[in-house]
Amino acid sequence: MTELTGKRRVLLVGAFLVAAALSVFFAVRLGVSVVYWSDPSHIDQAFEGWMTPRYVARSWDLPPDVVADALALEQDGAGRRVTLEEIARASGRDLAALFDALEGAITDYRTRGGE
Amino acid sequence: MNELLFGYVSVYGLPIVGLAAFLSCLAVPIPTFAVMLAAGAFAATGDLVLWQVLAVAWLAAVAGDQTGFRIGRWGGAPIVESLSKRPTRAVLIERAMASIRKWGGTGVFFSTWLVAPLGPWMNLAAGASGMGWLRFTLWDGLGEAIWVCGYVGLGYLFGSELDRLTTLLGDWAGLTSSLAITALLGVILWRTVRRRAP
Repeated sequence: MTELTGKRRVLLVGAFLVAAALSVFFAVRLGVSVVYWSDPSHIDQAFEGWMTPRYVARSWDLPPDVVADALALEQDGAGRRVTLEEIARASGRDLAALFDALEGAITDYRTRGGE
Repeated sequence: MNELLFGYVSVYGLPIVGLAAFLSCLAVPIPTFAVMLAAGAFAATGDLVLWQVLAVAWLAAVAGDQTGFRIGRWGGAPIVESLSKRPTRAVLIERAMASIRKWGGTGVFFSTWLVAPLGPWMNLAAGASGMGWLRFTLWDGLGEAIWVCGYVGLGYLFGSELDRLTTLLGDWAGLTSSLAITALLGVILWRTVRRRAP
């Protein structure tokens, strides 16, 4: 390596400091996320339009037919991939109404003791 | 941003997985790891098929890297040549290229998964340096297999809370990448300081 000129040295030190600052930034963010989510009250996620009925069933730990009933889905056994947003659009319902129906079905299922 | 990507994966499936894997190897700034996590999560629910996700993602990533390598091979040589017109610079460039040819295989390997943001540039540099195609392809294919299996696997296992997982892994990837760059710059600085000392 040839001798670095003053200007290049300043650039190199600057780049090093920026990279080091970024490392600290990500370390702090990671730490904050881990601490935040280790609190059990922060765990529940919200329903989103991109979710599929199967995803809802898995994430909320429900039998598939509870979700299918709540969404008034015809189970044709084809196993086609569909999102909540597509279901709402196809059935002319509001996405928020679907979320409410799911919420209700989950509460209902859990109060029944998960049968 | 993440929700939008999750939506693309759940609506369009495999084509989005392939497109994201391909483009990310060509330095298009999309958080492809979020796409891989989502694909893994939907494979776990049964909305996608695991082996298909793995195969499509791996093939597309390798194809993307091959494209970058080719661009480096065809476009890189003239640039290197014009830069090498000044003799002092020519010595430096030749030395850099020689070190890529010597250590490049390992560099390509780690740039596909451990320091993924560097991957696209590594492909170009490897192509421009005249690294052998077979050597590049073997290291690259191995590295991409780790990257694909890693992210799709994490999505498969822990994807029931996709949003949370993506944020955590995004910060983790940012941390490892910036640490690697800090370490690299630190080594270069250390060497110049030592060189100056008597």
